[in-house]
Amino acid sequence: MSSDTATMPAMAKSERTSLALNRTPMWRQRKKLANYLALLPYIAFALFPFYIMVITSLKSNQEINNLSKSPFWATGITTDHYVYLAQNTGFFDHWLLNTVIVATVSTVISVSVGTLGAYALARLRFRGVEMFGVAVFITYLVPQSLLFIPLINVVNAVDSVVPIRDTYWSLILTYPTFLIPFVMWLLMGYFRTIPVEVEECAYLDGCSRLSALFRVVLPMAMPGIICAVLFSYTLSWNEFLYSLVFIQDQAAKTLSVGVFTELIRGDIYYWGSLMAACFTGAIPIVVLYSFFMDYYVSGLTSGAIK
Amino acid sequence: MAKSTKNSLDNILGEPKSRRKFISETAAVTGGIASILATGIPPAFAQERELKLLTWSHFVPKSDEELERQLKEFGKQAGIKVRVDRVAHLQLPAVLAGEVQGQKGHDLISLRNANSYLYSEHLETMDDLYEKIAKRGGGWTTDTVGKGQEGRQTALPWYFISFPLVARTDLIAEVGEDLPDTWEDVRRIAGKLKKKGHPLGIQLAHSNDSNNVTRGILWSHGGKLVEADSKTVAVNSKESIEAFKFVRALYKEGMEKEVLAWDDRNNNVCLVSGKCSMTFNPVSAYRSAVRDKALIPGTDRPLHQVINHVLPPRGPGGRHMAASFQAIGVWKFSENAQLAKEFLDFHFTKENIDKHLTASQGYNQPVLASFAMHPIYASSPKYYFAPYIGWYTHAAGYPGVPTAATQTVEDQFLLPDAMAACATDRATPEEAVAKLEAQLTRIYKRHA
Repeated sequence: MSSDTATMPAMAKSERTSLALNRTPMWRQRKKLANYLALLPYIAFALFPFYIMVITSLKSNQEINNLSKSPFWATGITTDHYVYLAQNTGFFDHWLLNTVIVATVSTVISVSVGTLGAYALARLRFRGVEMFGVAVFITYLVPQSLLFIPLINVVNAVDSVVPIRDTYWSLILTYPTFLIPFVMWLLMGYFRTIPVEVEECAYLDGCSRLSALFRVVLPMAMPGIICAVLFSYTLSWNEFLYSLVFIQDQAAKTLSVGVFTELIRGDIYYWGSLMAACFTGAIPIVVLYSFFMDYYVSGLTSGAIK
Repeated sequence: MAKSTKNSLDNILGEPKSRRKFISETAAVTGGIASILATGIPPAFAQERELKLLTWSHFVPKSDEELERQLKEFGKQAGIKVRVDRVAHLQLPAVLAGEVQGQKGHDLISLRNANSYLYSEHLETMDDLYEKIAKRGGGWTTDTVGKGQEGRQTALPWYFISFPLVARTDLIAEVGEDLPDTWEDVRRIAGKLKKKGHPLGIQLAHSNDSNNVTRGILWSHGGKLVEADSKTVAVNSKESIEAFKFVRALYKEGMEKEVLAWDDRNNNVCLVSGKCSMTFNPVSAYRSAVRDKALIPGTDRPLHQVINHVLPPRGPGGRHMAASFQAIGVWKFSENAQLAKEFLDFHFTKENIDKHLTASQGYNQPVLASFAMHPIYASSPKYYFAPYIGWYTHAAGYPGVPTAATQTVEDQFLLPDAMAACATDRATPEEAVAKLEAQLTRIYKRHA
């Protein structure tokens, strides 16, 4: 007989009742277990790319090329690919920092301008407001592969005064062209979910429109704005075409193009280092999302329910 | 006195400015200074001259390093800044298109196959330099590469990347065969080895390798896409139909379905993994086996020891193969066009070509006759094919010159697609050839 069982009769009846009440009922535990089990395939599906990236980045070249071995396991762990990335490429020296700078500055500019634009289109009444809204949407739909052609002329025109080609400034100048329409499109819907009456109350309390925007509307729209920030940051982080066309200097490249240039040489792909670069490059975005996940989810759904 | 002072002040300051003009000019100057301070980059007019070269990320990094060294040496002599930029080979067309659109970018650019024709009007004429370098180097081994419209030499042929047959000598010996010399040999051996789990691997898909090898098969059977005038579509012939029939048989007897989805790297992986018995590829597949210390599956024996290269197979129409020809040109809009040409003169000296070729481990096969028998190709039996393969290698567009239409046909992978359709019975050889003819006619008409 265990000591626990031995002490049971000694426990007061009230204590036993309280213990029983605090205990999660079995049916609820079973339900929880079933929920988690049902979620497992989805989690496995979502995390599979990360898993493959990590596991491939830790394999030797010999093992990666051996088709008779399972691609899902590593029999020998090596950090050679991470070392190669650090020692033979500009990944940590330049590309990562360039990407952070470009993504941060572009996001700040785009969200600032886009928020004001979205508010104007959602709230103000002026001639052509509907048309502006549609125009923003259409601008968002124009593919980058077409937009980059006229943008080259813009970048070159600025470059003739202040050399921005082959620097990340060319990206900071051009990324807002696709980020601002996106932010406006996202936030227009969000602003429309905020009751006008709240703003009207602010006016009655003596606020100007601008003051009402900053003191009342923006705090209420924070989940939507954070959602826009996250999306803008991710779009800037992953952007490839503008970065490829405007920057060829090795030291000024961003992650997406730098990795492609250095680790794909002709028909030889440095798979291990490519996967190491993809995994390392994804970490900052994962961290960012994990901090703001709640805002992100509510930002996405709030615009959808009204 | 006061009046004269006022006059001199007027001379200095000029006419009084309107408030609006003053504000806009002040804003412009402030903005300019602010951006210079923010970016830390001096304005365009205050910058030093810089000679910039754009090329692809070479398979052998040392080749890029040697090119950069030469450019730096030249820059030191000329007293200018220099820079070598690289992009992945598949992305080079996008960057070139961007530079042409903006009429700004690098001075020297690497051009593949028909790009010298495609961008002809934006490229400097190189006729003089072409002749000068030819005299120095014993003549060019190709007279179709680097051509622009109206026969102008708009780029200098640089090197080519050949496509020999890469074969596992041990597996071929196991089935009692010699290394293949004809396409029929390839078909027979591939059939035997596929049964043993070691198929032949030729991409029938959207890849550069596929473009080259399918052209090789077509030409070796006497077929061609266009006539020697580079304008008349000539694909619909009984020789072409025979080539298509051959591809279908080769696919069914010697290959596996996966080749229909392969890109340029997959055949390397297949060979280095020990699965494929034969493929067509530059020496990069062999070099990968060396670099990755690949072993023959189930043994401790290095795989590269049993890989060898032989000349492309002979067919009823002779021995032919396509290759990636690289040329180097100078943009017309370059501010350093003369300097760029001087660099090319410097780069194409015997000493520098030799160093560049050696640094690339022979991968950059020479287009100057005096380098064809370079000692590096005698350094290993794996390279014995190299000095001779140039005789059988042609640029896309053969028997004509590579033109803008040639490049379009290549970029759309029309020949690999047609052969894949035939190989998988989605079209008969006659139907596939007829459809290809219609597609080619439309493209050549548009570019006429």
